[in-house]
Amino acid sequence: MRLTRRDFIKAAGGLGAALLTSPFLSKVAEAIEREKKNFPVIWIQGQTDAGCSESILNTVQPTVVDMVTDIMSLRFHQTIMAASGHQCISVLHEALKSDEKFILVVEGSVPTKDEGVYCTIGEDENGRPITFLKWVKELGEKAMYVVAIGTCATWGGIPAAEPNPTGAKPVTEIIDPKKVINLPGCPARPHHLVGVLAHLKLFGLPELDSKRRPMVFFSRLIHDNCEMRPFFEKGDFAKSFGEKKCMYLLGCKGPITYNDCPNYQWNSGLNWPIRGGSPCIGCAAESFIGSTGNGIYMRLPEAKVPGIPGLKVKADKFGTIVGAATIGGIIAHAMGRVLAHKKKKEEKKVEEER
Amino acid sequence: MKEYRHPLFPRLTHWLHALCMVMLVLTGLHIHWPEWLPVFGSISMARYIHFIFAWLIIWCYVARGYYYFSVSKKYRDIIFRFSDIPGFFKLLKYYLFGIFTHAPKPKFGKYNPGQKLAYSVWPIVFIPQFLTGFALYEPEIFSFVVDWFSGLGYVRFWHFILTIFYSISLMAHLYLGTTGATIFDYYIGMITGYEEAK
Repeated sequence: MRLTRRDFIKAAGGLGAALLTSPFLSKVAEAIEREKKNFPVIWIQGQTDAGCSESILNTVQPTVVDMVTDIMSLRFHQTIMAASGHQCISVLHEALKSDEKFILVVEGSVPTKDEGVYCTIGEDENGRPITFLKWVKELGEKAMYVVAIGTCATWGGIPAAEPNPTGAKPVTEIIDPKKVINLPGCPARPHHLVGVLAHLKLFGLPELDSKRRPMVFFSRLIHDNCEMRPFFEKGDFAKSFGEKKCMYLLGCKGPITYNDCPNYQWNSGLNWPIRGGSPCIGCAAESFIGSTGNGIYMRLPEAKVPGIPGLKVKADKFGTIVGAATIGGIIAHAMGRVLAHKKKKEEKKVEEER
Repeated sequence: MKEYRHPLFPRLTHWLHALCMVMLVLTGLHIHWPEWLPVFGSISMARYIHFIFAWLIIWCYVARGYYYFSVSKKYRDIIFRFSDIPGFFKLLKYYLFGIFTHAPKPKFGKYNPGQKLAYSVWPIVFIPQFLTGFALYEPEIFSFVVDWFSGLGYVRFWHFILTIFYSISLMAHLYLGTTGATIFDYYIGMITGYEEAK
């Protein structure tokens, strides 16, 4: 098999997107740039605090400037675009009219109560506001892929928490979930979006789990790779904040949260909540804030402390006993030999004297 | 004609060591791949058994060290020295060619240079295995080990790599155990103490 330059760049880009080791990300950017395909992205925000947008603005490799200038053609983004008024809303109308394929990024949950009047973007020709619900439905139908970014867009998040006055719903309940990619997290992680957009452009849909999350980022629980895992297994738990132990009993949601924080951490690998002494609040979990009703620092209802029932002897104790027996045996044996040696010497002396 | 080659103490500790190795590798694989090799029920149980046998193997090493260096003083039989290098190549030649043409087996002391190499390397490699193991067991007390390896993730990685080394050399040990006078001669010798005289 011959490896062409193009194949190589594709493979390198794919590897980079899959591994997301930061030095590779600039290579991903290069590979995407060379693909030179038109890559329009429309980013709309509903019931959100724009935290995900801010999180994405913090992407380092590639930087957000590289992203919006070289990787994707960002057509619409409420927070960072310079245009305003009709000028910018016309972008959305044009996207609906033209045949151009685009990727829709939805940030925030979609209010559905009272026909979605609680969140609107722009006006139609009669001067009536257009609901976010309508935009998501129409743009979502037209888009090639829809990326639901953040916990609000993925599960409903804080706006959907009880009593949910706006009837907030996740994107998958508004449009056909088959083209949706969910990137939960509050906020979503920068490299998730960069990785997914790169994958969509170079290879199409990434491998997803049953809840439409990319396997590469969401196949493992926080708990699986947590650096405090040894403390959990030993049953050594922090009783108050500040203790450097497993924070399960302080309400850590690591055992129910799928994300890759232990591997890549936050702020370009500087630190992450667990190392900073805060339990995982499960921001990427389906039950975050809303459905289970267990608050951020409440213990998980199914909290089961590990251990083997009926087992009294701990491994340390066993080691100490066996160690004491070994050392004791050695000392006894050595003493016996010394005594025997002395006895022999004395016998020899007696013999010689005779 | 049988010959008494292995006293009781080395035989006992040998099999205790063997049991420890097998249990440590199995429980270790369970901990490493909980969803692929769930042979011990839960990770907690696998970890418990792992620690029990880890303690056993450590004290077993201490006891064997005392025996070889102080009681039997036969440590010269098992320590690989530079003077063993030519013999090692002679042995390699025998294993690769001579064994098939029924050439006479080269004469060595009680153990051949290959055995000496294995029996010397195993305890040495056990030291990083012991340190990485304890770094994973008590990451706070052994935090200096964690720092050497720059993170628990790498500690785990090297602990696993050394396990692979042990598993492979164990296979070689088991296979070469069949190259005695008869296939089971060395195995029987390690149980009863008696082997065919050379």
